[in-house]
Amino acid sequence: MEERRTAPFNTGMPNAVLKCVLPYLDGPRDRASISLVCRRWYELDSASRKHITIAFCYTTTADRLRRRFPAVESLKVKGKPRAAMYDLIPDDWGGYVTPWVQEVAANLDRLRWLHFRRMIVRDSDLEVLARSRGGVLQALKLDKCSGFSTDGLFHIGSMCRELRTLCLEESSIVELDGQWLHEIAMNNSVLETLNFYRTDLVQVSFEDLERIARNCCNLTSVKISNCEILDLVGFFRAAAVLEEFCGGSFNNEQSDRYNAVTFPPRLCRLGLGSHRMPSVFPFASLLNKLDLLYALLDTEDHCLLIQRCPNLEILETRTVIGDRGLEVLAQSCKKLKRLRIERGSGNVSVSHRGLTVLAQGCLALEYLAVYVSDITNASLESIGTYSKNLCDFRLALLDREETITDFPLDNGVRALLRGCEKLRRLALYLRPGVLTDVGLGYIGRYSPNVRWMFLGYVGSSDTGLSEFSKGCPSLQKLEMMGCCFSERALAHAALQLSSLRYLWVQGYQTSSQSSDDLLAMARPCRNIELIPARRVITTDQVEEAVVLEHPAQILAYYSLAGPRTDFPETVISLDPVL
Amino acid sequence: MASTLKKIILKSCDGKILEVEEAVAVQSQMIKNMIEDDCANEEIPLPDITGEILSMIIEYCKMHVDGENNSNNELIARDADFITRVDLNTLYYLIVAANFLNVKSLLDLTCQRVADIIKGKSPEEIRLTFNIKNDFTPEEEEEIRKKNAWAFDYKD
Repeated sequence: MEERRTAPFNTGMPNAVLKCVLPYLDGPRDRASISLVCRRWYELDSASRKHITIAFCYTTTADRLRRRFPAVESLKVKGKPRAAMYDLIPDDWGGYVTPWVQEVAANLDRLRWLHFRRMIVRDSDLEVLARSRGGVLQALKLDKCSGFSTDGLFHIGSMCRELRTLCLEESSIVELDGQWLHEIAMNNSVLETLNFYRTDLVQVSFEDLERIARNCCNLTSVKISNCEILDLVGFFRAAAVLEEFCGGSFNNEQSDRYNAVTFPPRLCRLGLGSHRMPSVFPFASLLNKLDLLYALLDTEDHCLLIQRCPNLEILETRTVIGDRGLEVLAQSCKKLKRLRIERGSGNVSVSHRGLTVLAQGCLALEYLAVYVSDITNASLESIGTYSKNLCDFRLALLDREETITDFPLDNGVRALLRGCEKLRRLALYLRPGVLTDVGLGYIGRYSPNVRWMFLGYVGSSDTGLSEFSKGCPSLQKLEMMGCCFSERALAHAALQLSSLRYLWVQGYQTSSQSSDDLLAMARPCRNIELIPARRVITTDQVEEAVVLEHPAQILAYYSLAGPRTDFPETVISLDPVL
Repeated sequence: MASTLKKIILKSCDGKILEVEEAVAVQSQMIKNMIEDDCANEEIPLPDITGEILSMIIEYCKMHVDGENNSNNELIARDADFITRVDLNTLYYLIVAANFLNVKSLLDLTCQRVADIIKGKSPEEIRLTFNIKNDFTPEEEEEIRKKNAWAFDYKD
């Protein structure tokens, strides 16, 4: 029997061992490698993979998903191109959740967490989901989705009693009544996260919110649509373990009644619409996330608040923060990891001065997305020098100023890319002439790890694109806007970029004759879709009709599923066989 | 206190008999269940666990019982010391045994160790490390690579 003691397993790793080890390997990269080792490993990976993200819904089908990963517990599916967030994609473009919901309902019986992003959801989908998986579903996120109403949510509220997370953030939902929330209040005692932030859902009852807070003792995050904070006094009192809250406003500037508002003791992530930031000062030192996108604060308010937040890790605000606010941020918030500065309406702006100080002060920064009115090479260079943890950098140059101080930005962009070695995502939305072909070539050469790029108004000719596409070995998803490239050059780039799976382009030189030049990018399994230039009539803020010219768009992506069949009339599938 | 000194008798597949204090033995959820069901009064045969592996597991459980009052950091350091002394083949036996005996902390430790070896490696590096033969045809391999890359792998 002694030999048995040391007998090696000579068939590699035994199944019994691999089965035990696989739950400790969740990362999609590692799982992809595991599935390629040998047949046995492929099968064990398939049978045990729990988390699946489908980065674009038309790359595969729900049926294929189920056949390969029958035990999936958590599924995230993304739909429309990102440009949908800027109203550049027709509403009915596609990205329907129906086939996914039907597969979940019929076959994926271990599924607990479901996340759809930028997809079209019908009330009937929500009903099917609630009826089939209501007893077990723990998380439902409909993030930036559209097509459903509060009637659909009613089914979720009444049947999904195990739901821990319900997120509807930025979805466009038809509001018929507030009964859906009442159902949650009456049926759910395990909710931890409730989010209908940035939706138009306003017919909710504060009694229901308060009841939810009282019934659900693990309720840690609540983000709601805008409301008067005085209506939430009871809710705050009941929500004893709340850590995150977004959505209330102090609408009556002078009211003494605000003295009655007491925030829950553990609150550390906050988003308020308010002129009354002093209410926040007493617990500002506890805050690690602050959302000021709707706060209506001026620069001075930003400075006063930020200097009291030494533990801030995430800040979202608008350009009104100004260079002065960024200076205070750089001095006071040494733990800052994520900073998003959206476009604002006032005169105050952010420029290279603020960015330079920020880079020098906030060394932990991982994510920086900012609209600037002016920028220099030196400021980009400081980011490269100091922001060694930066993995996601997005810069949009506003066209408010006549001209910018220092261009082209070729060398600054190069310095940033060489310095920020962890960069995985990059967005540069500039102006014609600000980044030349040389700079575009630098992006290609110095972005070895970047997986996603969005480039707007860069380069000056096809030569730049050609230089760019010689590099970027990791680039999987490329989005471009407002560039001067020809169809031929785009097709060439799509073939040259070795990791590219998804290409979206709006604004390019269309050849007048046919789409032959574009078809040069055709490859087996690559779908190419075209949205020809169109004119869209919408209404502006004062309800007047505005005519918008949308240039043509191209979308090209690899798919296991073949060309899709749910096109609206605005989308043309380019079929190379024709 | 008599009950804490009670001995549990374990018998390995190669005939080795080991007497273990109950407090140590109940680190195994399986043995704990047997004790609770009053099935652990005679020797417990462990058909798939060798004496060598069983001794290692008992050593590990002892370390955890003795170290109950130690700080977390000390335990982590001891765990690390324990696991780095183990070669791959022994690690396999330990995993199978820890899984059978249901010793959660040891299963975590050993599986995490193997997972850490796999992490970040390419399929070819994994094959070399674990001595695994690639039995895909080149076409099959290419097909899976595509499926992974296009649909199930990419994060933007």
